[in-house]
Amino acid sequence: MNAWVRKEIKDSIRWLPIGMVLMVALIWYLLASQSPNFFAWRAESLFTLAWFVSAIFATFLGLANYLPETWGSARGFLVQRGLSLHRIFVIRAVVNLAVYLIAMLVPLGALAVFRFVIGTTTAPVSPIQVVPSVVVVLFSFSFYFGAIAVACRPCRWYGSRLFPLLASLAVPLAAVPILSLPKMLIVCVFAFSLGIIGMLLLAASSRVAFLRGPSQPAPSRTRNISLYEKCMMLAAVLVATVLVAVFFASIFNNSYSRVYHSVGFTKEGMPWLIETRYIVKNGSGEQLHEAKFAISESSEDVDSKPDVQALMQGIGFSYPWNYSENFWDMKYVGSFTSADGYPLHVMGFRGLLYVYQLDALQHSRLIAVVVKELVGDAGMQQAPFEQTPRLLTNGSNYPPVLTGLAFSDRNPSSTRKPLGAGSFTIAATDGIYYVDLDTSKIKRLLDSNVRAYSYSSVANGTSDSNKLAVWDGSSISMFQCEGSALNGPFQIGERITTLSTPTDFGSKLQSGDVQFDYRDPDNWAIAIGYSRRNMVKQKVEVARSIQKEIQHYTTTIPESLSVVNLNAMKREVLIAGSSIPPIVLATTGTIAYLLGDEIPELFSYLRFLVAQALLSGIMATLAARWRGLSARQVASWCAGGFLIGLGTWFLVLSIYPRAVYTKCPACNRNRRIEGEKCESCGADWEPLTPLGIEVFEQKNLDAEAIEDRIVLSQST
Amino acid sequence: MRYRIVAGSNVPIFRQIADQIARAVATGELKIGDSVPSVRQLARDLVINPNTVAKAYSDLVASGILETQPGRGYFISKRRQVFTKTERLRRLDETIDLLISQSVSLDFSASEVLERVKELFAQKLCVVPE
Amino acid sequence: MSKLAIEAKGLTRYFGTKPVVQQVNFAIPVGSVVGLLGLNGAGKSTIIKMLMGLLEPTRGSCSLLGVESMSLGPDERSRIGYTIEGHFLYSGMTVRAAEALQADCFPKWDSLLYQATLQRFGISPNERIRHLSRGQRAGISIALTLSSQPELLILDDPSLGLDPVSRRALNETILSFMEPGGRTVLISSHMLDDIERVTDRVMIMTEGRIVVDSSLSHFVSRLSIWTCECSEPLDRVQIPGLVSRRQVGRQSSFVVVDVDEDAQQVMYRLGGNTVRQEESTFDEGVMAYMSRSRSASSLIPT
Repeated sequence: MNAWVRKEIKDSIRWLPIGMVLMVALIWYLLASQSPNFFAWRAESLFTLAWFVSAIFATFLGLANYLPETWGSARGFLVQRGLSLHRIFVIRAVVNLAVYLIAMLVPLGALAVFRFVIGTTTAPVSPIQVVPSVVVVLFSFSFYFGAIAVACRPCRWYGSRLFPLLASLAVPLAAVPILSLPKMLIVCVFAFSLGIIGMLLLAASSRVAFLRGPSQPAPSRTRNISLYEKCMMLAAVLVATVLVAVFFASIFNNSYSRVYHSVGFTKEGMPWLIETRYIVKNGSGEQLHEAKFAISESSEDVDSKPDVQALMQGIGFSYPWNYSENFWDMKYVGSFTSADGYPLHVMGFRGLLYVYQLDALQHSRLIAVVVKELVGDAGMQQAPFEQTPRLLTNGSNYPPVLTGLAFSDRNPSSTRKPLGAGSFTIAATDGIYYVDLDTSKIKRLLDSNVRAYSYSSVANGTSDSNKLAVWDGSSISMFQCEGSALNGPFQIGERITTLSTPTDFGSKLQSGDVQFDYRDPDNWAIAIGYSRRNMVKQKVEVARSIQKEIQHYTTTIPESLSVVNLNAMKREVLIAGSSIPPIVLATTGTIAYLLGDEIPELFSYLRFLVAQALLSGIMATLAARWRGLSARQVASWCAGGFLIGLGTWFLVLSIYPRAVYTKCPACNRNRRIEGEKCESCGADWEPLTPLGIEVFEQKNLDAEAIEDRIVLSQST
Repeated sequence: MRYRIVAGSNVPIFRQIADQIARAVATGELKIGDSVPSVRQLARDLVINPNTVAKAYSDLVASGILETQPGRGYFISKRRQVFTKTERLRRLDETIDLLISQSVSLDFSASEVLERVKELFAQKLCVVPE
Repeated sequence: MSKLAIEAKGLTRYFGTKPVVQQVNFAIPVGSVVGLLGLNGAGKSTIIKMLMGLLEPTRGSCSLLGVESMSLGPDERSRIGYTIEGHFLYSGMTVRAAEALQADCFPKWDSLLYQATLQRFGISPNERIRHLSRGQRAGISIALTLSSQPELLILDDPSLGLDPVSRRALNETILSFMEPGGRTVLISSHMLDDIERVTDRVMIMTEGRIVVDSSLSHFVSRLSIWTCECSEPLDRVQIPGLVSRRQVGRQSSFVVVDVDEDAQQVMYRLGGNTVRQEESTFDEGVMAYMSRSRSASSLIPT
């Protein structure tokens, strides 16, 4: 066995450089994009690319080791030895896993070491960011098993041969929740266990495929393929159906890149909700779409109010940052002064705030590390106190639209001149802080919860930094500010007014945005819009004061206009979407519900879903009958068709081999060629009709006689 | 003596061996009591299946040319007739049939053939013709 | 009591809707050297692959050394030697490394035998397999197979492309393999001379069925060749036991199995006094069976 192990090591080690080069190329690509490309710095970009590379390498490794063995007589040579195929499979799996891990993890480890060495001085990165990539690399080993199944299952290349790779695709999906770890711990544990089960399943089915090898699907067998392989094919069919459905849904779907709501007022002071969507129409470019809705009771046709003006900038029900907050990455902090990216503030681990200066070439450089009540210099990495990781709020609560993008302005330009890093004001969840790097002082300007904030806007999209509105989740306060947040020193002065914003969203409220227009103490308007996580329920509250007369308006944006529904409105999208296997829709719907999302789209799918389930059942029945299955099997596949969807048809065809019939001489009806008895009449197979030229020596050469003779002659 | 066989010839291998031994006995190359190679030895020499040799030997035993002594091998036996007179005649006739047809096709007369048969008989068996 | 080394019962295999092996039955006792003959595509390799458990029978069963072929385990396999059609080897290895790998997988490995067999084929152990000639590769393949000291040897067309010297070496090797007794060989080959020399029993396949299963001498003794001159076309003539016919000019020859009165009558009616009868040789007999399947459609009595 040792010689065999040596052979396997020799065979697979030659693929090691290929994997290494792939992985190094990927890391090089990431390192090369060292501009302030926030996405490239994040763990998930490394994760995605590592997934891609490791999937390719694992597939390659499996095919390279197993495919040549299916050519010509190689398999006979492999099989015919006193070493069981099972053992060969295990030896290979271990050796190849080692090669795979070395090829994938050594470069990742080198990256981690590199990041540890350079620390955070050039970019907000840390060695721990490679951890999700390591996890996805581990899970991507499923592609190795998939590739073995591809190599060993003797199906047609244009048939179901490549399907195991689709099943393999499902396994690394289990690694995805790790990217949002602190929040989704339970989901993560659940997904990991599913992923491990999937991996074991794939390993088992590829083992069976290898053991049975090309002998497996005799053209017509009543014996089924193994349960493992059935599961694998089921997973593959589910993945394939989902991919196809999503592909067609995305073809028909006009994707909405951004949706803003803003509030405008008529001359009479009646507020109007103005909805603006930027639509990407099937990838053919961006279009602007605008709609207006009356907020107040006295609803009139919007078109009869030509002088409706948008006083406010967009109220952000826009998508929150795509960067989900996670355990691995540092958090980008919304600071009053960093709206345009100069400088860059990043919340690191252990409650440290990193301040980066971006130069003209867009290279970042760490200039300061800020702890709660101490401002250190760039060299200081250790925090004197580490118990306050949530000191400063993170960027995701502050969508960029809040401070930067102007309504109806396609290419928002900076309205503030870039600052030096000398001082800045920053919003934390527990207040607003002024940081002066020159004097190493942090001053708390406002002692209050901060869920959202805004400067007063003046006409044409600029803002007035002397007026600040802060929403603490239950009320909005307006403050008169002294000095400038831009130029420091900055002071938050007296509270001008406070309005309570009752909300029925409760704990599920995820994001909110404030807009604020201030003319003088008697004339101002405030709007706050907030939404739940899934953006289905969005609400706008408006308060305005005209000559000290304060009016409150509140309205819920119709669900039909919610971002989710906008995406799902077209019927073609519904049809394509409902061809997602019902079992998958039900599972994801349940998970979404458990996570607190509402699932209204499921109901719009329903009628199509029923139609497609029926169609699937019929097709599955036909396929099962075509394959000559028994009545009970046909019935269960019909039921399976309802659950598994349109792919069932293909699943049945790929699981069961083609039925071949021949005429039974006894009853003259068709019978399966592989059965020992005729299904109709129970007859055995009759001996072939003699050709009249057979020569059979009845008395077989008696072995003993032969031996006797030889022994006899030997003894002479 | 040297045995040689040709595979794929008109005559099956076992008969080639039997013929060679029979001829050797007839020409006196092998004498009564001489041993022939063991089955295994001959099979190895000729690169043929031992069973083929065994078959040849057992045919020769049957026709009385060889005899087997258990534990010692095969020997040329004393001439003894194992066939009846009629059987012997029948076997001879078979061969003469062939001879006659060949002679006719080659345009030999009966007397010419007889003459030739006598000559060759004398040559092969080294006996003076009467 | 004689044990069976190989057994097939109702062995049938389809490729798609095409039957390649049809209800084959045979039993090979321990101690036989059996030749499996047939045209390319007659089903020899398919039978051997099914015997080796490389291909699953559509129905029926076969077993080696008393173990069902599809469930041969490492223990049984190490008692079986199998040279593969085309002599597949891991060509990147040296001859010595190939031995090390194989020795590792077979408990009864005989290194001396390996060296001896290599010598017979004139191969040095340090050469890399991919640099060797076809004959030498065959030699290694056979050496690798035999040195595991199997009880049962299955050779799938081992002499394909071998020069006469290598073929002789192969025959010698097979025969010396048989010497210890208690061993069995199944050879599929197209080399009729080799088969005639080495085997004691032949099986001939045509179109997926076994039509001859007999010792060589018995097989030959039941065949006869008839020739006659006849001007009329003979295609429609029915002769009982007719295996094949050839026609060169006016001269027709028939290979007939178990000639009886009827057949003789038909023959004499056709050819009158030009009819002659000869014994068939092994070659002619096998050829007759093989060529029969080429023109089978016109010969099968309906």
